[in-house]
Amino acid sequence: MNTRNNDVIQRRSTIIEGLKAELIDRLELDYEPADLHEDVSLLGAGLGLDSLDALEIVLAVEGRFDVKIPDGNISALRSINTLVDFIIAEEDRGEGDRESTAS
Amino acid sequence: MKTADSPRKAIDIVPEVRGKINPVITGIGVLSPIGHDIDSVRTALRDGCCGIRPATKIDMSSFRANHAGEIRDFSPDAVLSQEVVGAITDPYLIYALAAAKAACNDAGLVVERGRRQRSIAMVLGTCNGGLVSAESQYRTDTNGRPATFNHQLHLQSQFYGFGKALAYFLGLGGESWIATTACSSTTVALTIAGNLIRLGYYDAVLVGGADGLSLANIAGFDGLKATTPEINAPFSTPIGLNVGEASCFWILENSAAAAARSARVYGCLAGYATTLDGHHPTAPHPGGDGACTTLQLAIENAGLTIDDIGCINLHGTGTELNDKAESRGVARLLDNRKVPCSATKSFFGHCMGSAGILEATCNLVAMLDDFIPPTLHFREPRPGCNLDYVPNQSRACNYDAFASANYAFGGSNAAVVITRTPADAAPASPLKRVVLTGCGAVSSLGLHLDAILDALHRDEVGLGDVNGHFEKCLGSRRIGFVEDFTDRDICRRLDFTDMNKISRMATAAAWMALDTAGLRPSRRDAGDFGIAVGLCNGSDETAHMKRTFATANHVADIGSFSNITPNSVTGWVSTALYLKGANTTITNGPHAAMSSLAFAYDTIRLGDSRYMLAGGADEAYELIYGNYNFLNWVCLGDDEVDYRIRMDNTTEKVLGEGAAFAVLESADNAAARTAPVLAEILGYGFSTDGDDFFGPCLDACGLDYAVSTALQRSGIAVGEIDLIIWAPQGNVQDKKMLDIHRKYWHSDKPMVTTTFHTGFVESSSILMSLACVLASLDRGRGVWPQRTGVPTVDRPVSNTAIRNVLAIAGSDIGYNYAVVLQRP
Amino acid sequence: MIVRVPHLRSKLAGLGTTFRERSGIEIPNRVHDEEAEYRMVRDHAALCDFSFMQKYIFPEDTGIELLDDIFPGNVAKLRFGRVLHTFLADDNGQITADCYIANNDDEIIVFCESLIDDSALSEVFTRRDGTAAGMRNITDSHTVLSVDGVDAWKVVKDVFGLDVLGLPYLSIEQYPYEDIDVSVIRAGKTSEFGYQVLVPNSHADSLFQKLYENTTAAGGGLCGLAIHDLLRLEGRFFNVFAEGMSVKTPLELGLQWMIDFHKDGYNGCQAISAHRQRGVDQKIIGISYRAPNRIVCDDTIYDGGAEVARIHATCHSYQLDCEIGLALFPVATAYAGLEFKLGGAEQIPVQTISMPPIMPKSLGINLTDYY
Repeated sequence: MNTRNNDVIQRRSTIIEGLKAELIDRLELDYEPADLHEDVSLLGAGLGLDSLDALEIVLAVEGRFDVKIPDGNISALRSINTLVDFIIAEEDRGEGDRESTAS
Repeated sequence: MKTADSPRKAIDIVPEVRGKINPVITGIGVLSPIGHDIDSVRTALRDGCCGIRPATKIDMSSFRANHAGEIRDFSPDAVLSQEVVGAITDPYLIYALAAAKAACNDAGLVVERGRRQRSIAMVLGTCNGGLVSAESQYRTDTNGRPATFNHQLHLQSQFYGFGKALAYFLGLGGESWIATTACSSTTVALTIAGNLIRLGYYDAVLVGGADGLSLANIAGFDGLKATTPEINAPFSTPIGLNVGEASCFWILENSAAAAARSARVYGCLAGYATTLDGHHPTAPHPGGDGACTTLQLAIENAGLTIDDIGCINLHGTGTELNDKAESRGVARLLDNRKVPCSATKSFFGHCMGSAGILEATCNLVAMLDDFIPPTLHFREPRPGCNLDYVPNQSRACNYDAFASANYAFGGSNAAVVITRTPADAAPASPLKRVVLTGCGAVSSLGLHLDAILDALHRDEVGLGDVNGHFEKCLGSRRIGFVEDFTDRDICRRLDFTDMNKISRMATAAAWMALDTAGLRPSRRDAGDFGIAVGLCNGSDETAHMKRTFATANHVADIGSFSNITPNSVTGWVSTALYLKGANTTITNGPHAAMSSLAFAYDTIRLGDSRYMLAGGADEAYELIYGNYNFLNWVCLGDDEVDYRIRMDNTTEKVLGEGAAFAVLESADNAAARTAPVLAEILGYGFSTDGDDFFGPCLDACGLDYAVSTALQRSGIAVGEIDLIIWAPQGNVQDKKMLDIHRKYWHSDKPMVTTTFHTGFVESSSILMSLACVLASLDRGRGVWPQRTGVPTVDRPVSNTAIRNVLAIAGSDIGYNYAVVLQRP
Repeated sequence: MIVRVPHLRSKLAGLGTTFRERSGIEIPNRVHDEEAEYRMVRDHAALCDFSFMQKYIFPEDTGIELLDDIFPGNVAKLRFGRVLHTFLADDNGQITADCYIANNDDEIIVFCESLIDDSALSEVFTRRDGTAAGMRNITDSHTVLSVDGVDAWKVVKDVFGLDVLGLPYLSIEQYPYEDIDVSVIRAGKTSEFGYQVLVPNSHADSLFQKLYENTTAAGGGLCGLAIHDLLRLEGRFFNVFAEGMSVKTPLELGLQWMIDFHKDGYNGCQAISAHRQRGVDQKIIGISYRAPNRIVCDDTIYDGGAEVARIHATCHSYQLDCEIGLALFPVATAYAGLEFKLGGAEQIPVQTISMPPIMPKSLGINLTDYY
């Protein structure tokens, strides 16, 4: 496995672990982390969560990770993987902002 | 023991036919963001003067929302006695006392402390209740130390404190009801008050409610993203609500009694209805089924048709979900008719539990002045909102009737129809006989009534060690704890997903009650099934409160917040069991299940529901247990090891957890479906001892009145009672029941309870005892051994025929209950 | 050997449908070219005959517990009017059918997309005493018409009235049609709005005609089942006829959400529980790549020289304008955002991706705005 792939795995697996723990706790999901496939649809199909759950997910993500999910951003809330993508993009953007402020 | 006031004459003329008596409004008291009397409210409504401003009473800087409908320029000292202002710290009680007093004055009823006026009942509604007082135990001072919390704050924080305060300061001694169905609370209160008048129980009822601004409440709505940073614009933009505070009271009178004393009549409470969505903890049914059905039923209940309705006062909170669902539902009801609809929340925001009666009052004063109040701040309608919202300007119009509706968390919907004059053709139908056809219970002795009965007959005591259940090791050690259980332990068809423990226990007991009655509601007949739930502490809101006050920007715990309102229990039960009919949630505190039983009984009697579930539930969560421990309300040492009645104890008890439910239906209905009848309910009598506010009410006089009333309404003589059911707590508060037992039956009739086997299950021990007695006798098992420590009570009961049963309950709060039942 | 043909075969054929055989059933495969059918669903609405599904009705009181004993999902808790999406497994815990179970008040309707043929499937229910539970096989007597697409709601609204817009996802409701009531399920695996109508064959022709006219008027038309394979993959819906043909263990497919792990005794339970206990070694995840020629299934993915995964489904995503697929990776490398190479001489780069990869237009529409 090349270094880049390893770095990606490292970063994603850490976020996924925290995210799953947070979701299981907040939404009282009756599953083990390993039972949650990262691509499973969170709302509607799949886990079948509702709008109140969607709010909980937003709060869970915002509470655990230093990101803000704008109201109505449905694309990030589609699956664990799309949430992870969002978190990574926000973290990278934050890094970029800090770097540009520094320079 | 003092002599009981004898039940008054009016009770002798209980109507045989519903529709003979009309409830009319003879007094109004209001305290709102748009005025402190009906004249100023009328002017504001007509001229479109909004009462929503940047918030000043609560620091809302960390919230999306920063506007509120506040009560301004109100000086309690000007209208309330020094005693009240000195004693009461919770703003909602101050508002309530001021508005309630104003309503009584307006009606020309003399109320004053110490009168113990039993001829006036009290039906109160609130959403937050004493949440502001409750918040004090989560606040910290500048040094991070917990702020003060004491007995006075605790009493004010409890819903039952509402009735106790009004009973004491206004000198009222009739029955008290505290309806807590969140944002439909006072609308539901109007339906209860309407029942009390219609059934001829009272000539006058003080009905209304209050809510003050509370940080925990605002944090919750803000966390749900239901608020707007601007001034709200229902059905238009911006989307979102403002919170408000208000108090409003009416005197509702029997129209004949009002006429007899030539009282001024503002209008008539011609019809009303309650329904449940059975859909979601916080969101309304998106199709607006709740709005459509509830309004339809209320209009029918008034003997009117939609064509008689001049305008509709909408719930119109301003939120995306409510406004759209409500518009859809009302549009379906109107079926292309052009009926103007206004959202008066655009004037004062969402005044929570007081919203219902306040909005009805707004529309009433407008109707009397020949105009329809407008919906303010209306620009373009939102998509899906296609009614005539009377935008921005009041509309001159002469009409004789309007409807006003409110919808709440837990899917609790309520609507009233108000007319200028009593309807000539109010729907008349004979009052029904009411029977009890099923019961269920959950307690520390078991998850099923039969398991509990087996344990009782074996004289098992279900009290265990409290340590291990709670994080903090508390002073007391024993509790009647219901071990955690899942839906699979009850019935594989049930779904407890997302339910907290109190709702699980309530659902299990309610399901059992239906099951033993041979009933299984489906989607098609869900409207035939109603439910009344009586609660003491209700759901555990600790998670929301802790989180809100632990974080600097007061971040809500929305999962816990959606359960903070007591009627979340009703909401969960109704969703799990498909109940969409009449409903209420009564938070009278200890023995509140008696109130739910009475509401269910009245509802069936009036023909307003085919089936009613009535019950109560209690969860002993850590905060409650900790508070009780702090207040010296839990037994310690020998007292708890050998739990029984000790008259040297004042407030101590061993708490239990559990739930109990009964199914009620009309005798005709039970006969038609050949359902076995456990008992017929013959009548009830309640009263309130308002002898003290902060102190205990231990006098037996009020209970005596309740018992006399129940017997009189039932047509049963004292000597015909064969057995007494009660729910003692193990302390001096039990003395009033024993006094009654001695006075009427020379301590010679069997007196039965489950308390000392299960712990004192606050709202529901009384109903659990009743359920266990009826089931045990039905199975031919007689009654189980009693362990009260009172020799006359504990002696063995011979298995003689038991036909007439009296259930009595009372506590130091001062609410007294008596119900008479007859076994087949 | 074809043992069953659609009731509407001649009608479908008359409109240009080509057919193929699958598990002994003749199915409508394609009507127009792939992209045209794709655009119908993503931009308008398309009608498709889904009668290939096996359909059974059970009385609610006896059926629900029987079905709860067979399926891994929690059928017992299925609320009135709701639809449960779950699967059927054989004794080895291998998936044999992808099923919707609908609680239609007095009756439970089971819809199966099955890898086994009609008689073998019926056998599954009869083995568990389905006949005693009052089971009726309505596979031959009823037609299922599926309307999918961003405008599908407009099509069904014009036939069944405004109330149909209030039907939540995975729900069933009755709507009057001519002199009967037909059952409409809000479901579908395209990630656009989807409605499946169960209609007795006696009324299937006229309802088909009406829905066909409405979809055509909405800018769409008739499509075959082949396009649904593509749409399912783009929306990351499990497809028993694609990846399900070669990967059969639900835990590798990521279908844990269809299982109530508190239950036991359902078909295949022992094998599935044992697999869960052992731990899952590999799982299926999304990939994307650009290739001039579409790669067929079973192609291999390499990390350097080592084989890491195999592809079990692919399609061309019109929305992403690239090939996407599903491949079975060892769990340690089953993460999105990794880069590998495809097998073969050309060594095409392939990325693992987060699913679902597309944002359907339907997600931006709030039906409550329209009714």
